[in-house]
Amino acid sequence: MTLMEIMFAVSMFSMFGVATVLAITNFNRLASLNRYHTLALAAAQQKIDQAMAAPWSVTGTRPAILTLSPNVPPQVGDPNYETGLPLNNDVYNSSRTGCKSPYSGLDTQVLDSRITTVTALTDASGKTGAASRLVQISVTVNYTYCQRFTTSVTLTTLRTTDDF
Amino acid sequence: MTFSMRTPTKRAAGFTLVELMVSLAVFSVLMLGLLYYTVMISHMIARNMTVNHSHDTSRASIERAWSDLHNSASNFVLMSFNGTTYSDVSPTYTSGLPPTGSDLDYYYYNASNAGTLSAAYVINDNRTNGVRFMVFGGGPYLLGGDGSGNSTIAASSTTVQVNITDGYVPVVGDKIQIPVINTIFDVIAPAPSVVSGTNYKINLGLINGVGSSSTTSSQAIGTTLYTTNIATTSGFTYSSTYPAYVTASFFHRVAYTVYNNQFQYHPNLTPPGEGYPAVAWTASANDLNSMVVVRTNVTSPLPFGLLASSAAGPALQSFLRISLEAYDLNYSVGMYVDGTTTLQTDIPSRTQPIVITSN
Repeated sequence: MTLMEIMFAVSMFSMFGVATVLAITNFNRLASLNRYHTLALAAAQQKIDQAMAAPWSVTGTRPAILTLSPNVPPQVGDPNYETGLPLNNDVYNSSRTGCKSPYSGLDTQVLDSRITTVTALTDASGKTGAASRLVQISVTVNYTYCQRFTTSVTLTTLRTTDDF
Repeated sequence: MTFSMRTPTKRAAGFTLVELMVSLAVFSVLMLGLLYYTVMISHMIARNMTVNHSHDTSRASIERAWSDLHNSASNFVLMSFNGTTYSDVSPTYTSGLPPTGSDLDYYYYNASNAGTLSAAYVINDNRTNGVRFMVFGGGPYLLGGDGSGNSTIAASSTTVQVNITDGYVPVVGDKIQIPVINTIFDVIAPAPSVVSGTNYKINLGLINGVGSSSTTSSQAIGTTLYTTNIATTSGFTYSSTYPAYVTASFFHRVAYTVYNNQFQYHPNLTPPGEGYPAVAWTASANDLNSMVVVRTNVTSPLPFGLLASSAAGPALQSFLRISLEAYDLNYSVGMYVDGTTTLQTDIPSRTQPIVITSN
């Protein structure tokens, strides 16, 4: 076996090794992205739950969470434009004695923004705008992972009053 | 003629020391690279499995609790559970910022105060490892009398007979709601017993849980109830055209706890201050009365909290905050970064209005 052959074999082996490590690192990153995607979905779902569970009677006042968005899409500072929400980290428990475990510091904090848009639709009685009893709620969660992967998750639902 | 004993000189086949050292060095470098490569791959796989498992644990646990919590028929009561007994915890809120003041939960957002600190709800200081609430047990069921042979339930009667046709088994500690008189009674000892067929005799306790004991104080129903075709004292006659249908529904006390790194569901929680579990576990019945382990590897010591609109405001007891942290303890030696998954959510009760006023 010549030196050239050996060098060629070693370089091939090294390239294979490096490529494999890079591939698996990438797989891990994709897996993390997907996991954060699930957490973002949970955050969006939580907001949808909040909107769906708020009591809303035709004879009562509209709950705050269903207040029609002043801007579509909402702007920073608008109601239901939330920023700096931790996706995979509970800073409230980590700062509280007795609420954290030995594993609490192992998760990476990924901050997201959650934007809820409430728009009025024409309801069955023909009412529109603020008088409408039918609204569309759209929740979008945006987050950035590893400072370069920006992902967005959106859930949309309809809501009407509890009674008629 | 002479013969030489010498054979022609020939170099023996083999490697020189230099060749051996070079090849050994190359081989060692290759092996070290391979070892590093293997360790790295193993580490990545183990870490990925840890993260996947912890993520799966927290997500499955929350999903399991979600529907029950949404469909709660009462407010949520925080409680401390030590494996054998539980005690209720009243949420306290402290003004100021953490760690001395109460935490602000930006995940539950008060839109009416957008742009201010009060836009976020406040989480109670004394978080707990358990939460209990009532769920719908069964009903409506027809009342058939007082359980002692009388079809009319006298106002002084402390028992009722309920025809439970769908297999629900009422237990001491349940609540029984009789809508026609707009009253909820505790179900007290002696335990509900079968009178005939699917008819149970139920002993009535305190109304709406008000009183010194929820399991020993008998309570008269307070109103005469007719359950069959009969002429009432007011002159009205119930008949097959106008039957005296009086119904009742049952509500059941359940709980979720985190104890011993387990996320546990208690499908039959005893009334406050009484022995746990309410019904002893029996293998023959494949009994799930006492406790069900939903998931293991849950590491958050105190995941449950309640929200308030401000430190001075009352607790919003229909909004439960869960911060469930999970870590795959089978891989704990690694203490893998990112191995922990924390899923936090605020779960509002969907039962509106709240039907059970005490639990």
